[in-house]
Amino acid sequence: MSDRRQLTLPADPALLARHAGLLRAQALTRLNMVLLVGAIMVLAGIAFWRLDVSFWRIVKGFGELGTFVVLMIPPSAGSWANALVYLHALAETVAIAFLGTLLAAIIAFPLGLLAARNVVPARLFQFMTRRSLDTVRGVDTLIWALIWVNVVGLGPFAGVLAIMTSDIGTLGKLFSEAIEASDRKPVEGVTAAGGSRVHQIRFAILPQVLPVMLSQVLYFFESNTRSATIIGIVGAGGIGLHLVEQIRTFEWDRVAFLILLILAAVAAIDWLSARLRHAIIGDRSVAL
Amino acid sequence: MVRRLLEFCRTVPELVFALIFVVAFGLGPLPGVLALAIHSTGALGKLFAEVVENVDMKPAEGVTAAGATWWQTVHLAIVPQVLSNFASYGLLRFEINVRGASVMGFVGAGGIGQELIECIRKFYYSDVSALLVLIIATVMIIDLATERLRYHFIGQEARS
Repeated sequence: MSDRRQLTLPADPALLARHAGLLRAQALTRLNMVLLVGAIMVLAGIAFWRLDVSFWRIVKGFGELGTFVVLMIPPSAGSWANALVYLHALAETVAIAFLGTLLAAIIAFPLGLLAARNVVPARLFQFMTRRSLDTVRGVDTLIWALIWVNVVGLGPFAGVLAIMTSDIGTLGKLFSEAIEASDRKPVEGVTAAGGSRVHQIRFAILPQVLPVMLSQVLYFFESNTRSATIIGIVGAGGIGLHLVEQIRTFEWDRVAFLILLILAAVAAIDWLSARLRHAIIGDRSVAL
Repeated sequence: MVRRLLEFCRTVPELVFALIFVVAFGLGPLPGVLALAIHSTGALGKLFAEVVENVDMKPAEGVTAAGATWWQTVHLAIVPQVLSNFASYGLLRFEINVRGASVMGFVGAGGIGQELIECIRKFYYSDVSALLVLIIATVMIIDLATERLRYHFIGQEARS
């Protein structure tokens, strides 16, 4: 901050005296910043120490990692039959992501309305909805996958349910935030014209938030394709099962092949959904 | 090139990195830390780049016009604009990573996930729910704390 003062004007004592309060505030912010950085560094140090991270282990591990990378080149599926199996698993992964997102969006929509402050005036009810959404959200997709595998058995259905459950929480929260950020004026207009609460939602709020919601859902489809690739690790269908098998058996060229396959699929879906989102909401960016 | 690398880092799921790192570094929290670090680098790198690209160039022009060097331009015109956003995104990522770390144990990369997967596999459902409550409580507390901090940072930006 002192350089800035030098840049703009020579330190004039009268001026400094007049704005002493401002300068003190600036110094205080600076002190806070230094304290914050210090605290973060101390915390990081303690975490490193507690987690037993040693420099030597890192160096050794990276050496090992280098060997793996060398073994990964060139990527290959082993045989054409294998490649077909992997492609099938990839299609299953995308299907899991698609179904999971769709179901989550359908269920999250009414929940989002219930959790919005300007739709449900009862604060207690709205608070309860919010907190339960938070609870669902706090549990990772993979944990849900494990639980659902126990409930409905191994296979992609557990994966669909897992993605659905964890996304209900997030989408519900995002939907409710979008609804709360909507403009009040159309609502007042509908009320003035004699509309009921349902009319208000249908004619004043929904037209505003629907494009935003759609693009959020598309974004989640993208991110769910990524999550769906790993839920196979706990047996909930998709390509993850093959990936974990090949890593455990050190078939590094196949691992590389699978990773490339996932990357290609994710990139394709990203591109597609980016195009769609662009078509839906134009250049506006969406709060996520 | 850097962009493609970041994209690679964030597209490959953390758990895949964790799986590979567990083989390379051995069991324990270290592969988990590294996996989260690499994944977050990819995600944050992209967000940070976007923030920097979206800065208002007028202060930079002003500072340059006042005779500042390149370093001074970055320090006085760009950094003040992006710092609060960086901090906010960093905290958001921390929030996400707390959740991510809870499952690292599934592949042997340390943390509470190890206990959780054992309990689920052995059908100790009361233990499972206890662990879930613990995880949810931790995630919620950290969410609330970081939300506070983030509003604080963004509020600062709005004021200045």
